[in-house]
Amino acid sequence: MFQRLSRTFLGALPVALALSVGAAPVAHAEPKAGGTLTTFTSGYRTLNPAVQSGASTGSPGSQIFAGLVTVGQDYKIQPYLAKDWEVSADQLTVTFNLVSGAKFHDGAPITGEDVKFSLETVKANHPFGAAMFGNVGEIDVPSPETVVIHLNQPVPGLLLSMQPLLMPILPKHVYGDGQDIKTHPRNMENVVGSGPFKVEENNPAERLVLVKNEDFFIEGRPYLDKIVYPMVKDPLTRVLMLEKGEIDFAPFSGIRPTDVARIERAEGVNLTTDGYDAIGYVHYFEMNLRNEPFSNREVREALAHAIDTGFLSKVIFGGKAVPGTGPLHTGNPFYSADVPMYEPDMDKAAAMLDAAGYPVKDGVRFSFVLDVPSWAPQAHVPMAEYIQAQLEKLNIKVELRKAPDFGTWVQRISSWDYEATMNGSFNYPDPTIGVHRHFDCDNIKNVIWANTEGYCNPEVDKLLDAAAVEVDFDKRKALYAELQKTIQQDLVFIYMPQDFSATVYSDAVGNMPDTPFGALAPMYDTYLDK
Amino acid sequence: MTLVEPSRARTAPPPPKAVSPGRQVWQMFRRNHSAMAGLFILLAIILISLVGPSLYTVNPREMVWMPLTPPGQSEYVLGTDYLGRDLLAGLINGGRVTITIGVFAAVLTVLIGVTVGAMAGFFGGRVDNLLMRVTEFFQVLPNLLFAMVVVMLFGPTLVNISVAIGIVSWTSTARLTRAEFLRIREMDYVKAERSIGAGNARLIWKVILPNAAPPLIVVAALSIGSAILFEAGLSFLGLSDPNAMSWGRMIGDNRPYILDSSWGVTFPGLAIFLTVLAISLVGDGLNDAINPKLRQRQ
Repeated sequence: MFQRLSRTFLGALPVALALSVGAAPVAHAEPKAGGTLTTFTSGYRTLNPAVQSGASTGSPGSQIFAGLVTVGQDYKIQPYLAKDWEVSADQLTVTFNLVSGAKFHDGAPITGEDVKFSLETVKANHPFGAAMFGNVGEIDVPSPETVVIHLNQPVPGLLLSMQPLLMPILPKHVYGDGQDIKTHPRNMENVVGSGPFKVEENNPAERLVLVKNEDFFIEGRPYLDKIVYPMVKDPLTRVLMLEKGEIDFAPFSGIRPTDVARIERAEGVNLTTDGYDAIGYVHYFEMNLRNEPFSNREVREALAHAIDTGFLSKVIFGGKAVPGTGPLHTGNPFYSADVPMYEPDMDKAAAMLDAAGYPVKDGVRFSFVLDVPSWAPQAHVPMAEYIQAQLEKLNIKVELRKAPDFGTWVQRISSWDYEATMNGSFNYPDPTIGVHRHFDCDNIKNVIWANTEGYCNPEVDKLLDAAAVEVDFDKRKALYAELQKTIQQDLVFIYMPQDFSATVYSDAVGNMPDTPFGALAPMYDTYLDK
Repeated sequence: MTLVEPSRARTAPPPPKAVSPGRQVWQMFRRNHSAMAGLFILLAIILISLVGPSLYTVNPREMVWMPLTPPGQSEYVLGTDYLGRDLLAGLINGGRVTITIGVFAAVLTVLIGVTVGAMAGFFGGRVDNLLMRVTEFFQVLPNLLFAMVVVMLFGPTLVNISVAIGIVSWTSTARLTRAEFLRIREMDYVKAERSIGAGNARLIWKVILPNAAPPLIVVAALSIGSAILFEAGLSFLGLSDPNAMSWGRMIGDNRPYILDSSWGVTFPGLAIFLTVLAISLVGDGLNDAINPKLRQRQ
C-alpha cells in the first residue's frame, strides 16, 4: 500500500518536470547497436510461419526467417532477400534476383533452390497457401541467385505475400528430408532460419530468446543483440509488467480500451495503434444462414437495426474501436465506405420482425444460442453480452454459450453445428487471402474461417473471380467496392467494431515497427536507447 | 378407598412439562446473540433476493450508464460495471442465483455424503472398505481443479456448477456420517430395535440417522456457505453461467478492471462475505444449541 502510494507520488514528479519544459516524444538521435529488447509471448506451437498463421508464431517467426521482400509504409514493396525483381508485361512471369552471399544460420548459403522449396512448401501447407499461390505454376532456378516464377493467371497480391510472415525462406537441406513439415521436429528444435535473429533458447512454457545473427545479409543490422519473449498469458499482468518496465515492447498487447488512460498516465510508456493495417482484424456476428430464422434476410436486417455498433464503439470500447462497415478493414487499401448502413432503430426492428413472421408469442419471438469463442474475450464477451441485452428488448431470447477452449469452438463452427457465434478474422493486405474465404461458394467447407455460414451468391462469386486476377489497382478497387456493397446488402454478417489492436512500448524503443505488418515484420531496424 | 384416589392424584405435583426438542434448540439458539445476528442478516439477504427484483426493476443485464462509473455519481447508487450495467441491480438479482447454487450444492453434498457415510458406517467390513477408498479417491483430488474440469467438460450452467461443487465437497460429510454411525450402531437401543426384528432400512433411516442428525445439520448449514465461496472461486476464474447474474460472476467479470475501478468487485465481494459470515454464525449457533454436551456446559 505504502509502496504503491510512494510510487504514484514519485511517478508524478518527473511528469511535472517534463511538462514544465514542454514535453515532446523522446527524440532519438542515431540508431545505436546493442541491448536486449524484452517483449512477450502468449504461447506458440511452432516457430515455423510456413505451416501456421497468426501472431503468436509470426511475431518471432518473422525475426528468425527472412522473406524475399518487406512491406513499407503505404504498402510500398521494398527489397529484402531479393535485391530487385522484374514482372513481365503479361503479368505472368516474375523474376527475383537474390542478394549475394546470404547465409542460413548454420552457414549454408541461401540459394534459389531454397526459395523454390519454400514457395512450394507454403503453397502446400500454409492455411492460405492455395489462396496466395494457387496460380503459381512452374518455378525455375536458372542460377543460384535467380528465381523465375511462372503464373497461370495474374496474381495481383503476389508481392505482398512474399514478405517473411507469409512466405518465410526455409532451408531446404533441413526441411527437405521427406518428413511432414507440419510436424517436423526442426520447427521447434535447433531451428535454422535465414533472418536477422537466431534462436538461442526455446522453452515455450517459459521463454524464447533470440540473439543477433552476426552473418545477417544486410550490413550493420540488426541493431539489437537480443530479443526475449517471456511467456505472459494474462493481459492484466502484461499491463503491470509494462508499467514496471519489465517489458519494453508489447505488440498485440490484448489490452482493453479502458486500460489506455492508465497506460498513458504511466511514465516512459507509449501506446500506438499503428502497425496493424495489413493484419486488418475485424469482428463480426456470424449467423448460420442454413436455418430459420437467420436464413430470412428480413430477420438479419431487423437485428442489424437493433445492434448499435456505434454504441459499442463509443461507450463499451471507450471510442477507441472503429465500427466495421463491411468485410474489409478500414485500413485496407481496397476499403470502401459506400455500403448500405442500418441505422439503430428498435421500433423498426420490431416491426420488421413482426412482418417477417416472428411476432411476440408468449413473450418470446424466437430464441437462439450464441457461441462465444475463447480467443478474444476482451472483444467478444462485451459484444455478446450487449447483443443479449439488446435483443432481450425485442423479446428475442439469446442464450450465451462460452467455449471452454479453442478446439471446442472450432469443432462447433466448422461442423456448422451452431446457430450464431461471435467471430473475427484477419483481412491480410490482399483480400484474396483473408476476405474471399468467407464468401466464395466453393469455400463452403468444414474448415474454420472458411465459408462456415453457408453463404452462396453467384454474383458475388463472379466479383471474387474477377477481382482475384485484376491487375489494375483502380479497376480492382471498384470490384471490391461492389463486393462490399453486396455483402452488406445481403447482410451475410453483422459487422462489429474492429479490433482494438494496440502496441505498448517504452520510450527506449527506437524505430518502432509501425509499417502495415507492424511487429510481424522483421525488426532489424529497431534499436534500444536506454 | 376408591374415592380417595382422585384427590391424591389432584395433589400430586404436575409432571414436568414436555418441551419438544425443536423448541429446546430454538431457546438455546435465541440466547446466542451472534447466531441471532447471523440469522437476521441471512433472512434480510433472502428477503432482498426474493422481493428485491420486483421492487428495484432495473435490468441487471442492460447497459444503462457509462461503464465503470464510480458509486454515487449517477442515479445508479453503487455505480456501474465494465459494461455500464447497474451494480445494485446485479447484487439484488445475483443473490437469488448465488443462494440457489449454494443451497442446491449443499443439498447434493449432504445427499451423497450421508448416503455413502451411512452405508459405510452401518454395514462396515467390505462395504466400508470400498466406500472409504472411493471417498479417499475424491479427497485426494484437488477440489478446485476437479470442479473446473467438470464445469469445462459439461459447460458452465447453473446446474453443472452446482453439481460440480456437490461432487467435490461431499467427502467430509461422508466421513462424519460414518463416524456417527459406527458409534451409534453399537448403542443398546439400536440392538434392542434389531432384536425385535427391525430391518436394515429401518435401522438406518429411522433409528440411527435421527440420532446422528445434530452434527449433520450443522455441517449442512455450513456447506451452503462454502458452496457459495466455491462458486465465487469458479466465477473468478471465468467459469460462471454467462446467462445468469451471480455475485461470483460479477467479481469474475470486473476482475480485469480492479486496478482502476475497485467498486465492481468490492460490492459483490461484500455481499458474499456477509452471506457466508451470516451462514457461519447460524451454523455455529446451531452447533451450540443442538449439541447436548455443549448445552449442559452452558
